[in-house]
Amino acid sequence: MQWITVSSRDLDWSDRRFCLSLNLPRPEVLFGEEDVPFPAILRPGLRPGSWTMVFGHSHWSHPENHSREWISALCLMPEEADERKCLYLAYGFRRRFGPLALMEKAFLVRRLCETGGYRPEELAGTWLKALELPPGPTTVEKMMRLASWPEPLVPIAEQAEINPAVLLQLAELPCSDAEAIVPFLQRHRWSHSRQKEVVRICLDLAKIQGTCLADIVADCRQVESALPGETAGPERAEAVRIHLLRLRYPRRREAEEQYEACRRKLRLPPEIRLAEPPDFDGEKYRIQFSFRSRRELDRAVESLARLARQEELDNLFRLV
Amino acid sequence: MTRTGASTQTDGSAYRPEFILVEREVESLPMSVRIRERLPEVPFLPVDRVDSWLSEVGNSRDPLRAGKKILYLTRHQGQVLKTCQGMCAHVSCCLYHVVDFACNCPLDCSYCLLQNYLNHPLIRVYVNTEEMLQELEGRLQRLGSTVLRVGTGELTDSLALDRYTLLSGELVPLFARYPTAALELKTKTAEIDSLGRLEHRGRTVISWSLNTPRMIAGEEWGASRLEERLLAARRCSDWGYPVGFHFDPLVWYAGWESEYRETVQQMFDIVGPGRIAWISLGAFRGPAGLLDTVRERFPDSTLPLGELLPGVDGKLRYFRPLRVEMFRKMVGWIRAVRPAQTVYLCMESPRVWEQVFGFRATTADVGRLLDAAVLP
Repeated sequence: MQWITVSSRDLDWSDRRFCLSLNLPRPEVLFGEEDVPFPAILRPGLRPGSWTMVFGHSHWSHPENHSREWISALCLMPEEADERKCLYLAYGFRRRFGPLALMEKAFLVRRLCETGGYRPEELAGTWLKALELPPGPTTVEKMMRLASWPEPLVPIAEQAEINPAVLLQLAELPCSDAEAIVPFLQRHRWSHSRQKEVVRICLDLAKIQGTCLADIVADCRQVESALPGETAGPERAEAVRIHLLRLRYPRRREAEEQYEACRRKLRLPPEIRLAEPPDFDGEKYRIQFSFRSRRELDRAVESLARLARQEELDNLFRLV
Repeated sequence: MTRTGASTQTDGSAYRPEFILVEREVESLPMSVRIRERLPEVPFLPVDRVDSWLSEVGNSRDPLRAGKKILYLTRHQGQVLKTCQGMCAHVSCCLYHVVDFACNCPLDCSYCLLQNYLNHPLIRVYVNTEEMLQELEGRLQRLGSTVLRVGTGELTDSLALDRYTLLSGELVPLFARYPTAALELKTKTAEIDSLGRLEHRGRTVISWSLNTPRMIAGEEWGASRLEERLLAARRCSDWGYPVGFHFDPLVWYAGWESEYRETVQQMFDIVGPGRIAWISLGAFRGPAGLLDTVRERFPDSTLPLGELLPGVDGKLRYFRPLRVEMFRKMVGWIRAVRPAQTVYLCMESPRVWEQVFGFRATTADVGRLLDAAVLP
């Protein structure tokens, strides 16, 4: 078995060894056997008053154990939580194992409170900063709520690769809402920015309709079930998103439908592209066409002249 | 929080800070002394830096609310008179100018842009007022026949701190001396006691931001109730002041039509149409980040639930047909009582003006409209 040693010297994140500046006056209190939830041995360090922690490398190297065990290590050092050490620990962790996932941070925050003896307000500054979370007591509360999600939801949230900002937002929801939306996000695999948009719309719709997220998600399932069976995942996700957008912005949807109806009636030739003002807020349409010969240009100009004579244009102008 | 604990302010009651921090350099200026005298029981603390206070406020549950409990007396730097920040290429503006005697507001409206605009949660009061007034007067002296409308309510409520600063007592008589200048004091409070005995010559418009009772109760923390504002307006009108009203932000919610209609009616019932210089209409709008702040700080707010979409200037606004519908209805209800009432739109494009009023107003048009409403 290989070993990683944690000694009392300054940080040295070399390949196999890393050293932490542990200044533990009463290590037996912090590291009593029953408190050490992972294979670790504590022994006197090289200098008086310093201690060395030794971890089994095989245990550490197991991917599923990395973060959990590191979290345990962090939790065992409540008296050491000055800003410098918090930052060192977070930095060291990132360097060695990659960034902590938000759920892992949530478990860390909970352990710091429950096992580490921290009061939530003590974590609101330096610790949250070290964990790259927005400072403030509300974040601690959100993290505690995330950590108390039902066990089966946690792996789903991890698999869904949810945008951390969105996950924090979900932490504010009742568990039943989280249980509805997390699998929904996992199923559709939206990008982080799309996740943000979709969750925002779902939350708004739930408020507007006076319903819960489970109902919104169920409604989306109906849309999905109406899609042809061979529809690919990304297209399915996009159809659901568009459905949600239409529910959320009904007047805009109406204008869009009218615009599409007008456009169809105008029967524009394929070489001419018509673009509406973004969100119908401006007052000008844009036409674009390309040509590579005098003949093509003549044809496009003729098409434009025909377009300008159509009565349907008036309906188009009424939309802006 | 130890220094900035629970709020003691309740809706509609007068604002009272919990601490006054004063930069040592301005401690002895007359405005600092005046504020101290008028708030004798509030701790008055000379400071070199406010970092530790900012840090404490920053760690509180709601730093923006916590910051409002601290008055920070400091010096205004830079130009005193500025153009209104609403002026931009996409909208027809009213050629308004602003002077900021304070920065940040004791009130806490859910929709307030300052939440995302200010980088400092304390209420800064600029106490080098003598210098500021001097510079302002210099500008007024050079006006000639040019018309200048000036407001003090851009970064704060014009009157919410007036009982401590007594600033209106200096501003109103100053503007009374210049026939082509007009001052607008814009408020959501009923803090008008100091205005009664001032020489104003009709050069100061006292104006109120109005909304429906539901919106005031739900979205305008610390502000006076609708009836209190209207009764205050009535008193100012009785003192000979022209008064103005700003229905801004208009908010689209279930039942908005009947409630805004009643509010318009109540305004005319209590104040009477005679002395209303202008009424502005502005639909709720703001940068995208504002909605996140509203959701975070005011989870029960209905504002983010509107059909808000980014406009040509990047700001979120109600989808244009909805805005036009609101404006048209408001104009209809107002003009049903007073057909000649000056009504204008705040931060709207010429196209929206056209859809509401039937003509495309330019910035110059709007400026002239308001000049005519307040100047002889």
